Amino acid sequence: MAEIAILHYHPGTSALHRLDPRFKVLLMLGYIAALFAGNWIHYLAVTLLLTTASISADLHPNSFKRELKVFLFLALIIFTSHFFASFQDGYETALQKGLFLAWRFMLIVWLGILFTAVTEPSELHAVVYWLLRPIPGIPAGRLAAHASLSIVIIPLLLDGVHEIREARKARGIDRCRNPVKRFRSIMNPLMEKLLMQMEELALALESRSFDESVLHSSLLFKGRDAVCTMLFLLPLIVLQVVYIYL
Amino acid sequence: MPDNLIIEVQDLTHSFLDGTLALRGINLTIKQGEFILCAGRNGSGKTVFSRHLNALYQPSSGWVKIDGRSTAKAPYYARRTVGLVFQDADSQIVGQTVRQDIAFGPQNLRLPKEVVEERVELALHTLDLHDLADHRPHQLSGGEKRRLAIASVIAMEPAVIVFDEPFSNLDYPGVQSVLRHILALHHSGHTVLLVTHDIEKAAAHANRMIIFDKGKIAIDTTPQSALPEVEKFGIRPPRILGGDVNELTWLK
Repeated sequence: MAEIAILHYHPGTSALHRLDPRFKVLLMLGYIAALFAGNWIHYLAVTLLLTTASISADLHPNSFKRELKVFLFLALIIFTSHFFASFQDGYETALQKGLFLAWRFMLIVWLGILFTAVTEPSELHAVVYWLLRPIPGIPAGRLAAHASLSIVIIPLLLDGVHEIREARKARGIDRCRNPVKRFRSIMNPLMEKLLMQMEELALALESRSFDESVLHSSLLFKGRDAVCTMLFLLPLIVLQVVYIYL
Repeated sequence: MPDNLIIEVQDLTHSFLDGTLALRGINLTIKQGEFILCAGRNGSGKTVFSRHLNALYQPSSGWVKIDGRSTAKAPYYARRTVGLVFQDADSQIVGQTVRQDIAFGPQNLRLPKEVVEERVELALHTLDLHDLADHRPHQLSGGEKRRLAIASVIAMEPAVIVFDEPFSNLDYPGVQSVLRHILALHHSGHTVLLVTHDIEKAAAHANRMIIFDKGKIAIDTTPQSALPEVEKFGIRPPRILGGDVNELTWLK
Protein backbone atom coordinates (compact mmCIF):
# COMPACT_ATOMS: atom_id res chain seq x y z
CA MET A 1 0.00 0.00 0.00
CA ALA A 2 2.79 2.37 0.80
CA GLU A 3 4.50 2.37 -2.57
CA ILE A 4 2.19 4.57 -4.66
CA ALA A 5 2.88 8.22 -3.85
CA ILE A 6 0.92 10.04 -6.54
CA LEU A 7 -2.52 11.66 -6.07
CA HIS A 8 -2.35 11.29 -2.30
CA TYR A 9 -2.57 14.00 0.31
CA HIS A 10 0.93 14.77 1.60
CA PRO A 11 0.64 16.17 5.12
CA GLY A 12 2.57 19.41 5.51
CA THR A 13 2.58 22.91 6.90
CA SER A 14 3.51 24.93 3.79
CA ALA A 15 1.61 28.07 2.79
CA LEU A 16 -0.19 26.05 0.10
CA HIS A 17 -1.22 23.39 2.62
CA ARG A 18 -2.65 26.09 4.88
CA LEU A 19 -4.35 28.01 2.08
CA ASP A 20 -8.16 28.18 2.29
CA PRO A 21 -9.37 25.39 -0.07
CA ARG A 22 -11.73 27.85 -1.80
CA PHE A 23 -8.64 29.75 -2.98
CA LYS A 24 -6.95 26.52 -4.04
CA VAL A 25 -9.94 25.76 -6.28
CA LEU A 26 -9.87 29.35 -7.57
CA LEU A 27 -6.16 29.02 -8.38
CA MET A 28 -6.70 25.73 -10.13
CA LEU A 29 -9.54 27.11 -12.24
CA GLY A 30 -7.43 30.18 -13.07
CA TYR A 31 -4.53 28.04 -14.25
CA ILE A 32 -6.78 25.77 -16.32
CA ALA A 33 -8.41 28.83 -17.92
CA ALA A 34 -4.95 30.22 -18.76
CA LEU A 35 -3.95 26.89 -20.34
CA PHE A 36 -7.04 26.78 -22.54
CA ALA A 37 -7.13 30.48 -23.42
CA GLY A 38 -3.44 31.24 -23.80
CA ASN A 39 -0.40 30.36 -25.87
CA TRP A 40 3.08 28.97 -25.15
CA ILE A 41 3.97 31.98 -22.97
CA HIS A 42 1.05 31.08 -20.68
CA TYR A 43 2.23 27.48 -20.65
CA LEU A 44 5.71 28.63 -19.68
CA ALA A 45 4.31 30.90 -16.97
CA VAL A 46 2.13 28.09 -15.56
CA THR A 47 5.14 25.73 -15.64
CA LEU A 48 7.26 28.23 -13.68
CA LEU A 49 4.45 28.93 -11.20
CA LEU A 50 3.77 25.22 -10.67
CA THR A 51 7.48 24.62 -10.13
CA THR A 52 7.55 27.36 -7.50
CA ALA A 53 4.35 26.04 -5.88
CA SER A 54 5.66 22.44 -5.84
CA ILE A 55 8.96 23.51 -4.27
CA SER A 56 7.15 25.59 -1.66
CA ALA A 57 4.85 22.62 -0.88
CA ASP A 58 7.90 20.36 -0.56
CA LEU A 59 6.65 18.10 -3.33
CA HIS A 60 9.50 16.36 -5.14
CA PRO A 61 8.87 14.74 -8.54
CA ASN A 62 11.42 12.06 -7.60
CA SER A 63 8.97 10.58 -5.12
CA PHE A 64 6.50 9.66 -7.83
CA LYS A 65 8.58 9.52 -11.02
CA ARG A 66 7.61 5.88 -11.64
CA GLU A 67 3.86 6.68 -11.61
CA LEU A 68 4.48 9.69 -13.85
CA LYS A 69 5.58 7.33 -16.63
CA VAL A 70 1.93 6.41 -17.24
CA PHE A 71 1.02 10.05 -17.78
CA LEU A 72 4.11 10.60 -19.95
CA PHE A 73 2.97 7.67 -22.07
CA LEU A 74 -0.49 9.24 -22.42
CA ALA A 75 1.18 12.57 -23.31
CA LEU A 76 3.14 10.74 -26.02
CA ILE A 77 -0.10 9.33 -27.42
CA ILE A 78 -1.63 12.83 -27.43
CA PHE A 79 1.46 14.21 -29.17
CA THR A 80 1.55 11.46 -31.80
CA SER A 81 -2.16 11.59 -32.62
CA HIS A 82 -2.19 15.40 -32.97
CA PHE A 83 1.09 15.41 -34.91
CA PHE A 84 -0.31 13.05 -37.54
CA ALA A 85 -3.77 14.66 -37.53
CA SER A 86 -2.23 18.08 -38.32
CA PHE A 87 0.47 16.86 -40.67
CA GLN A 88 -1.28 18.29 -43.77
CA ASP A 89 -0.74 21.79 -42.26
CA GLY A 90 2.99 21.32 -42.47
CA TYR A 91 5.65 19.59 -40.38
CA GLU A 92 6.38 22.57 -38.10
CA THR A 93 2.71 23.31 -37.35
CA ALA A 94 2.01 19.62 -36.62
CA LEU A 95 5.06 19.39 -34.33
CA GLN A 96 4.10 22.57 -32.52
CA LYS A 97 0.46 21.51 -32.06
CA GLY A 98 1.41 18.05 -30.81
CA LEU A 99 3.98 19.45 -28.38
CA PHE A 100 1.64 22.12 -26.99
CA LEU A 101 -1.23 19.70 -26.39
CA ALA A 102 1.05 17.15 -24.72
CA TRP A 103 2.58 19.97 -22.62
CA ARG A 104 -0.90 21.20 -21.62
CA PHE A 105 -1.94 17.68 -20.66
CA MET A 106 1.12 17.27 -18.43
CA LEU A 107 0.48 20.65 -16.80
CA ILE A 108 -3.12 19.66 -15.99
CA VAL A 109 -1.84 16.36 -14.52
CA TRP A 110 0.71 18.34 -12.49
CA LEU A 111 -2.06 20.65 -11.23
CA GLY A 112 -4.10 17.61 -10.14
CA ILE A 113 -1.13 16.07 -8.36
CA LEU A 114 -0.31 19.33 -6.58
CA PHE A 115 -3.94 19.97 -5.63
CA THR A 116 -4.43 16.50 -4.12
CA ALA A 117 -1.04 16.70 -2.38
CA VAL A 118 -1.91 19.89 -0.50
CA THR A 119 -5.69 19.49 -0.06
CA GLU A 120 -7.26 17.12 2.41
CA PRO A 121 -10.39 15.35 1.11
CA SER A 122 -12.26 16.81 4.08
CA GLU A 123 -11.35 20.30 2.79
CA LEU A 124 -12.59 19.35 -0.66
CA HIS A 125 -15.81 18.13 0.96
CA ALA A 126 -16.20 21.48 2.72
CA VAL A 127 -15.52 23.57 -0.38
CA VAL A 128 -17.86 21.57 -2.69
CA TYR A 129 -20.55 21.80 0.00
CA TRP A 130 -19.94 25.56 0.28
CA LEU A 131 -20.21 25.98 -3.49
CA LEU A 132 -23.33 23.87 -3.98
CA ARG A 133 -25.33 24.63 -0.83
CA PRO A 134 -26.87 27.88 -2.14
CA ILE A 135 -28.20 26.12 -5.25
CA PRO A 136 -31.74 24.87 -4.56
CA GLY A 137 -32.57 21.26 -5.40
CA ILE A 138 -28.93 20.13 -5.40
CA PRO A 139 -28.01 17.53 -2.75
CA ALA A 140 -24.90 19.47 -1.72
CA GLY A 141 -23.95 17.14 1.17
CA ARG A 142 -24.12 14.01 -0.97
CA LEU A 143 -22.18 15.50 -3.92
CA ALA A 144 -19.54 16.91 -1.57
CA ALA A 145 -19.19 13.49 0.08
CA HIS A 146 -18.82 11.89 -3.38
CA ALA A 147 -16.11 14.36 -4.36
CA SER A 148 -14.07 13.78 -1.20
CA LEU A 149 -14.55 10.00 -1.26
CA SER A 150 -13.33 9.93 -4.88
CA ILE A 151 -10.02 11.28 -3.60
CA VAL A 152 -9.95 8.56 -0.93
CA ILE A 153 -10.54 5.93 -3.62
CA ILE A 154 -7.69 7.03 -5.94
CA PRO A 155 -4.91 5.50 -3.80
CA LEU A 156 -6.92 2.26 -3.50
CA LEU A 157 -7.30 2.20 -7.29
CA LEU A 158 -3.60 2.86 -7.95
CA ASP A 159 -2.54 0.37 -5.28
CA GLY A 160 -4.84 -2.19 -6.89
CA VAL A 161 -3.26 -1.67 -10.32
CA HIS A 162 0.21 -1.98 -8.78
CA GLU A 163 -0.71 -5.18 -6.91
CA ILE A 164 -2.27 -6.84 -9.97
CA ARG A 165 0.72 -5.91 -12.16
CA GLU A 166 3.13 -7.36 -9.59
CA ALA A 167 1.04 -10.54 -9.34
CA ARG A 168 1.07 -10.87 -13.15
CA LYS A 169 4.83 -10.38 -13.21
CA ALA A 170 5.28 -13.02 -10.50
CA ARG A 171 3.31 -15.49 -12.61
CA GLY A 172 5.27 -14.58 -15.74
CA ILE A 173 2.20 -13.36 -17.66
CA ASP A 174 3.23 -9.76 -18.20
CA ARG A 175 4.88 -10.21 -21.58
CA CYS A 176 1.84 -9.44 -23.69
CA ARG A 177 2.80 -6.52 -25.97
CA ASN A 178 -0.75 -5.70 -27.05
CA PRO A 179 -1.73 -2.67 -24.91
CA VAL A 180 -5.48 -3.32 -25.31
CA LYS A 181 -5.11 -6.91 -24.07
CA ARG A 182 -2.84 -5.73 -21.23
CA PHE A 183 -5.38 -3.08 -20.26
CA ARG A 184 -8.27 -5.58 -20.30
CA SER A 185 -6.35 -8.18 -18.32
CA ILE A 186 -5.69 -5.61 -15.57
CA MET A 187 -9.09 -3.91 -15.64
CA ASN A 188 -11.20 -7.03 -15.06
CA PRO A 189 -9.59 -8.09 -11.76
CA LEU A 190 -9.14 -4.44 -10.78
CA MET A 191 -12.84 -3.63 -11.10
CA GLU A 192 -13.77 -6.78 -9.21
CA LYS A 193 -11.34 -5.93 -6.40
CA LEU A 194 -12.40 -2.29 -6.35
CA LEU A 195 -16.11 -3.12 -6.12
CA MET A 196 -15.45 -5.40 -3.15
CA GLN A 197 -13.33 -2.71 -1.49
CA MET A 198 -16.04 -0.12 -2.08
CA GLU A 199 -18.61 -2.36 -0.47
CA GLU A 200 -16.34 -2.77 2.56
CA LEU A 201 -15.64 0.98 2.63
CA ALA A 202 -19.39 1.72 2.52
CA LEU A 203 -19.97 -0.64 5.46
CA ALA A 204 -17.01 0.85 7.35
CA LEU A 205 -18.42 4.36 6.82
CA GLU A 206 -21.83 3.27 8.00
CA SER A 207 -20.40 1.55 11.07
CA ARG A 208 -18.70 4.83 12.00
CA SER A 209 -22.03 6.68 11.76
CA PHE A 210 -21.07 8.48 8.54
CA ASP A 211 -23.19 11.56 7.98
CA GLU A 212 -22.71 13.28 4.62
CA SER A 213 -23.79 16.65 5.96
CA VAL A 214 -21.11 16.72 8.66
CA LEU A 215 -18.15 18.86 7.61
CA HIS A 216 -14.81 17.52 8.80
CA SER A 217 -12.99 20.79 7.97
CA SER A 218 -14.07 24.34 8.55
CA LEU A 219 -13.52 27.12 6.01
CA LEU A 220 -11.92 30.17 7.55
CA PHE A 221 -10.91 33.14 5.42
CA LYS A 222 -7.65 34.81 6.38
CA GLY A 223 -5.97 37.82 4.80
CA ARG A 224 -2.88 35.81 3.91
CA ASP A 225 -5.06 33.51 1.73
CA ALA A 226 -5.88 36.41 -0.58
CA VAL A 227 -2.21 37.52 -0.67
CA CYS A 228 -0.96 34.02 -1.46
CA THR A 229 -3.61 33.55 -4.17
CA MET A 230 -2.76 36.88 -5.77
CA LEU A 231 0.94 36.01 -5.77
CA PHE A 232 0.25 32.86 -7.74
CA LEU A 233 -2.46 34.35 -9.97
CA LEU A 234 -1.14 37.85 -10.67
CA PRO A 235 1.56 36.85 -13.19
CA LEU A 236 -1.09 35.09 -15.28
CA ILE A 237 -3.49 38.04 -15.09
CA VAL A 238 -0.74 40.46 -16.17
CA LEU A 239 0.25 38.13 -18.97
CA GLN A 240 -3.35 37.88 -20.15
CA VAL A 241 -3.75 41.68 -20.16
CA VAL A 242 -0.51 42.09 -22.10
CA TYR A 243 -1.59 39.32 -24.50
CA ILE A 244 -4.95 41.03 -25.17
CA TYR A 245 -3.68 44.61 -25.62
CA LEU A 246 -0.36 44.11 -27.40
CA MET B 1 -34.11 -7.03 30.84
CA PRO B 2 -31.61 -7.72 33.63
CA ASP B 3 -29.42 -4.68 34.30
CA ASN B 4 -26.15 -6.08 33.05
CA LEU B 5 -27.37 -7.47 29.72
CA ILE B 6 -25.90 -5.42 26.89
CA ILE B 7 -26.78 -7.63 23.90
CA GLU B 8 -29.84 -9.82 23.35
CA VAL B 9 -30.39 -11.85 20.21
CA GLN B 10 -33.62 -13.72 19.57
CA ASP B 11 -34.26 -16.14 16.66
CA LEU B 12 -31.90 -14.17 14.44
CA THR B 13 -31.97 -15.35 10.83
CA HIS B 14 -30.13 -13.72 7.96
CA SER B 15 -30.59 -14.68 4.35
CA PHE B 16 -28.78 -13.07 1.42
CA LEU B 17 -30.51 -12.01 -1.79
CA ASP B 18 -29.48 -15.23 -3.53
CA GLY B 19 -31.30 -17.22 -0.85
CA THR B 20 -28.19 -18.34 1.08
CA LEU B 21 -29.00 -18.66 4.76
CA ALA B 22 -26.06 -17.18 6.66
CA LEU B 23 -27.63 -17.30 10.13
CA ARG B 24 -30.36 -19.70 11.27
CA GLY B 25 -32.21 -18.87 14.48
CA ILE B 26 -29.45 -17.51 16.70
CA ASN B 27 -30.38 -17.00 20.35
CA LEU B 28 -27.99 -15.55 22.88
CA THR B 29 -27.44 -12.88 25.47
CA ILE B 30 -24.23 -11.09 26.36
CA LYS B 31 -23.52 -9.43 29.69
CA GLN B 32 -21.56 -6.24 30.16
CA GLY B 33 -17.85 -6.86 30.68
CA GLU B 34 -17.75 -10.32 29.08
CA PHE B 35 -14.82 -11.39 26.89
CA ILE B 36 -16.19 -13.75 24.28
CA LEU B 37 -14.26 -15.69 21.68
CA CYS B 38 -16.33 -16.43 18.55
CA ALA B 39 -14.86 -19.11 16.34
CA GLY B 40 -15.93 -21.30 13.42
CA ARG B 41 -14.87 -22.38 9.97
CA ASN B 42 -15.05 -19.98 6.97
CA GLY B 43 -18.66 -19.24 6.04
CA SER B 44 -20.02 -20.39 9.40
CA GLY B 45 -21.71 -17.01 9.97
CA LYS B 46 -19.33 -15.32 12.44
CA THR B 47 -18.77 -12.16 10.40
CA VAL B 48 -22.44 -11.82 9.41
CA PHE B 49 -23.37 -12.15 13.09
CA SER B 50 -20.86 -9.47 14.12
CA ARG B 51 -22.30 -7.07 11.53
CA HIS B 52 -25.78 -7.51 12.98
CA LEU B 53 -24.51 -6.24 16.33
CA ASN B 54 -23.42 -2.99 14.65
CA ALA B 55 -26.73 -2.73 12.70
CA LEU B 56 -24.89 -2.94 9.39
CA TYR B 57 -27.14 -5.87 8.54
CA GLN B 58 -30.78 -6.14 9.52
CA PRO B 59 -32.40 -9.45 10.51
CA SER B 60 -34.43 -11.33 7.91
CA SER B 61 -36.37 -12.55 10.93
CA GLY B 62 -35.88 -12.36 14.68
CA TRP B 63 -34.31 -9.40 16.43
CA VAL B 64 -31.16 -7.98 17.97
CA LYS B 65 -31.31 -5.60 20.91
CA ILE B 66 -28.40 -3.51 22.04
CA ASP B 67 -28.79 -2.18 25.56
CA GLY B 68 -32.52 -2.89 25.29
CA ARG B 69 -33.03 -1.10 21.95
CA SER B 70 -33.74 -2.93 18.70
CA THR B 71 -31.09 -2.51 15.97
CA ALA B 72 -33.90 -2.27 13.41
CA LYS B 73 -35.50 0.68 15.20
CA ALA B 74 -32.37 2.37 16.55
CA PRO B 75 -29.44 1.57 14.21
CA TYR B 76 -27.48 4.71 15.16
CA TYR B 77 -27.72 3.82 18.84
CA ALA B 78 -26.40 0.34 17.99
CA ARG B 79 -23.44 1.88 16.11
CA ARG B 80 -22.63 4.17 19.01
CA THR B 81 -22.80 1.32 21.50
CA VAL B 82 -21.09 -1.41 19.49
CA GLY B 83 -17.83 -0.59 17.72
CA LEU B 84 -16.76 -2.90 14.92
CA VAL B 85 -13.11 -3.34 13.96
CA PHE B 86 -13.11 -4.76 10.45
CA GLN B 87 -10.96 -7.66 9.30
CA ASP B 88 -9.41 -5.57 6.52
CA ALA B 89 -8.04 -2.51 8.29
CA ASP B 90 -7.39 -0.80 4.93
CA SER B 91 -11.07 -0.72 4.08
CA GLN B 92 -11.81 1.08 7.33
CA ILE B 93 -9.35 3.94 6.70
CA VAL B 94 -10.89 7.17 5.42
CA GLY B 95 -8.70 9.88 6.95
CA GLN B 96 -5.63 11.25 5.23
CA THR B 97 -3.63 11.20 8.45
CA VAL B 98 -3.82 8.94 11.49
CA ARG B 99 -5.24 11.80 13.58
CA GLN B 100 -7.94 12.62 11.01
CA ASP B 101 -8.95 9.01 10.67
CA ILE B 102 -9.46 8.70 14.41
CA ALA B 103 -11.44 11.97 14.45
CA PHE B 104 -13.76 10.81 11.65
CA GLY B 105 -16.17 8.80 13.86
CA PRO B 106 -16.54 11.34 16.70
CA GLN B 107 -17.05 14.13 14.14
CA ASN B 108 -19.87 12.14 12.57
CA LEU B 109 -21.46 11.96 16.01
CA ARG B 110 -21.52 15.79 15.85
CA LEU B 111 -19.55 16.13 19.07
CA PRO B 112 -18.08 19.55 19.94
CA LYS B 113 -14.59 20.16 18.53
CA GLU B 114 -12.93 20.09 21.95
CA VAL B 115 -14.52 16.73 22.78
CA VAL B 116 -13.39 15.29 19.43
CA GLU B 117 -9.84 16.48 20.07
CA GLU B 118 -9.91 15.05 23.59
CA ARG B 119 -11.08 11.67 22.32
CA VAL B 120 -8.50 11.63 19.52
CA GLU B 121 -5.70 12.36 21.99
CA LEU B 122 -6.93 9.63 24.33
CA ALA B 123 -7.21 7.08 21.49
CA LEU B 124 -3.72 7.99 20.21
CA HIS B 125 -2.36 7.54 23.71
CA THR B 126 -4.23 4.29 24.41
CA LEU B 127 -3.06 2.64 21.18
CA ASP B 128 0.50 4.08 21.28
CA LEU B 129 0.00 5.97 18.03
CA HIS B 130 1.15 9.40 19.17
CA ASP B 131 4.37 9.36 17.14
CA LEU B 132 2.41 8.42 14.01
CA ALA B 133 -0.40 10.97 14.47
CA ASP B 134 0.50 12.97 11.36
CA HIS B 135 1.54 10.03 9.17
CA ARG B 136 -0.47 8.85 6.21
CA PRO B 137 -2.41 5.72 7.26
CA HIS B 138 -1.61 3.87 4.05
CA GLN B 139 2.09 4.04 4.90
CA LEU B 140 1.71 2.24 8.23
CA SER B 141 2.68 -1.39 8.83
CA GLY B 142 -0.02 -4.06 9.18
CA GLY B 143 0.09 -3.99 12.99
CA GLU B 144 0.01 -0.18 13.09
CA LYS B 145 -2.99 -0.12 10.74
CA ARG B 146 -4.81 -2.59 12.96
CA ARG B 147 -4.06 -0.39 15.98
CA LEU B 148 -5.35 2.62 14.04
CA ALA B 149 -8.57 0.74 13.21
CA ILE B 150 -9.02 0.00 16.93
CA ALA B 151 -8.20 3.61 17.89
CA SER B 152 -10.77 4.88 15.36
CA VAL B 153 -13.42 2.70 16.96
CA ILE B 154 -12.60 3.45 20.62
CA ALA B 155 -12.71 7.19 19.88
CA MET B 156 -16.46 6.70 19.45
CA GLU B 157 -16.48 5.33 23.02
CA PRO B 158 -18.57 2.21 22.43
CA ALA B 159 -19.45 -0.05 25.36
CA VAL B 160 -18.89 -3.16 23.25
CA ILE B 161 -16.06 -3.73 20.77
CA VAL B 162 -16.25 -6.48 18.17
CA PHE B 163 -12.93 -7.47 16.61
CA ASP B 164 -13.28 -9.35 13.32
CA GLU B 165 -10.13 -11.47 12.81
CA PRO B 166 -7.84 -8.90 14.46
CA PHE B 167 -4.72 -11.09 14.14
CA SER B 168 -4.90 -11.90 10.42
CA ASN B 169 -1.76 -10.99 8.45
CA LEU B 170 0.12 -9.88 11.56
CA ASP B 171 3.55 -11.07 12.62
CA TYR B 172 4.30 -12.27 16.17
CA PRO B 173 5.07 -8.81 17.66
CA GLY B 174 2.03 -7.41 15.80
CA VAL B 175 -0.27 -10.05 17.32
CA GLN B 176 1.17 -9.43 20.79
CA SER B 177 0.75 -5.68 20.49
CA VAL B 178 -2.88 -5.90 19.28
CA LEU B 179 -3.73 -8.54 21.91
CA ARG B 180 -2.27 -6.38 24.70
CA HIS B 181 -4.44 -3.47 23.58
CA ILE B 182 -7.56 -5.65 23.38
CA LEU B 183 -6.93 -6.87 26.93
CA ALA B 184 -6.37 -3.32 28.15
CA LEU B 185 -9.72 -2.30 26.64
CA HIS B 186 -11.42 -5.24 28.33
CA HIS B 187 -9.82 -4.36 31.67
CA SER B 188 -11.03 -0.79 31.28
CA GLY B 189 -14.61 -2.08 31.22
CA HIS B 190 -15.41 -2.77 27.57
CA THR B 191 -17.32 -5.86 26.56
CA VAL B 192 -15.18 -7.66 23.97
CA LEU B 193 -16.18 -10.05 21.18
CA LEU B 194 -13.20 -11.54 19.43
CA VAL B 195 -14.06 -13.23 16.14
CA THR B 196 -11.11 -15.40 15.17
CA HIS B 197 -9.85 -18.75 13.93
CA ASP B 198 -6.73 -18.37 16.05
CA ILE B 199 -8.04 -19.56 19.39
CA GLU B 200 -4.50 -20.39 20.49
CA LYS B 201 -3.64 -16.70 20.52
CA ALA B 202 -6.28 -15.49 22.96
CA ALA B 203 -8.46 -18.26 24.45
CA ALA B 204 -6.77 -17.86 27.84
CA HIS B 205 -8.28 -14.39 28.22
CA ALA B 206 -11.88 -15.21 27.26
CA ASN B 207 -14.53 -16.18 29.78
CA ARG B 208 -16.81 -17.61 27.10
CA MET B 209 -16.43 -19.32 23.75
CA ILE B 210 -19.07 -19.48 21.03
CA ILE B 211 -18.58 -21.81 18.08
CA PHE B 212 -20.57 -21.11 14.93
CA ASP B 213 -21.34 -23.86 12.47
CA LYS B 214 -23.51 -23.58 9.34
CA GLY B 215 -25.15 -20.41 10.61
CA LYS B 216 -26.03 -21.81 14.03
CA ILE B 217 -24.44 -21.70 17.45
CA ALA B 218 -22.95 -25.15 17.93
CA ILE B 219 -21.24 -24.54 21.26
CA ASP B 220 -21.64 -21.78 23.83
CA THR B 221 -19.63 -22.50 26.95
CA THR B 222 -16.32 -21.77 28.67
CA PRO B 223 -13.12 -22.09 26.57
CA GLN B 224 -11.97 -24.98 28.77
CA SER B 225 -15.13 -26.99 28.04
CA ALA B 226 -15.26 -26.04 24.35
CA LEU B 227 -11.66 -26.94 23.40
CA PRO B 228 -12.06 -30.74 23.12
CA GLU B 229 -14.90 -30.20 20.59
CA VAL B 230 -13.41 -27.53 18.31
CA GLU B 231 -11.87 -29.82 15.67
CA LYS B 232 -15.34 -31.10 14.72
CA PHE B 233 -16.18 -27.57 13.64
CA GLY B 234 -13.18 -26.92 11.41
CA ILE B 235 -11.00 -25.21 14.01
CA ARG B 236 -7.44 -26.33 14.59
CA PRO B 237 -7.27 -27.75 18.10
CA PRO B 238 -4.60 -26.13 20.26
CA ARG B 239 -1.45 -28.13 20.89
CA ILE B 240 -2.04 -28.13 24.63
CA LEU B 241 -5.32 -30.00 24.21
CA GLY B 242 -6.20 -31.48 27.57
CA GLY B 243 -3.83 -29.10 29.30
CA ASP B 244 -4.32 -25.73 30.92
CA VAL B 245 -6.41 -23.27 28.88
CA ASN B 246 -4.47 -20.45 30.55
CA GLU B 247 -1.55 -21.38 28.32
CA LEU B 248 -3.54 -20.38 25.22
CA THR B 249 -2.14 -16.92 24.72
CA TRP B 250 0.61 -15.35 22.65
CA LEU B 251 1.54 -13.10 25.53
CA LYS B 252 3.58 -15.82 27.23
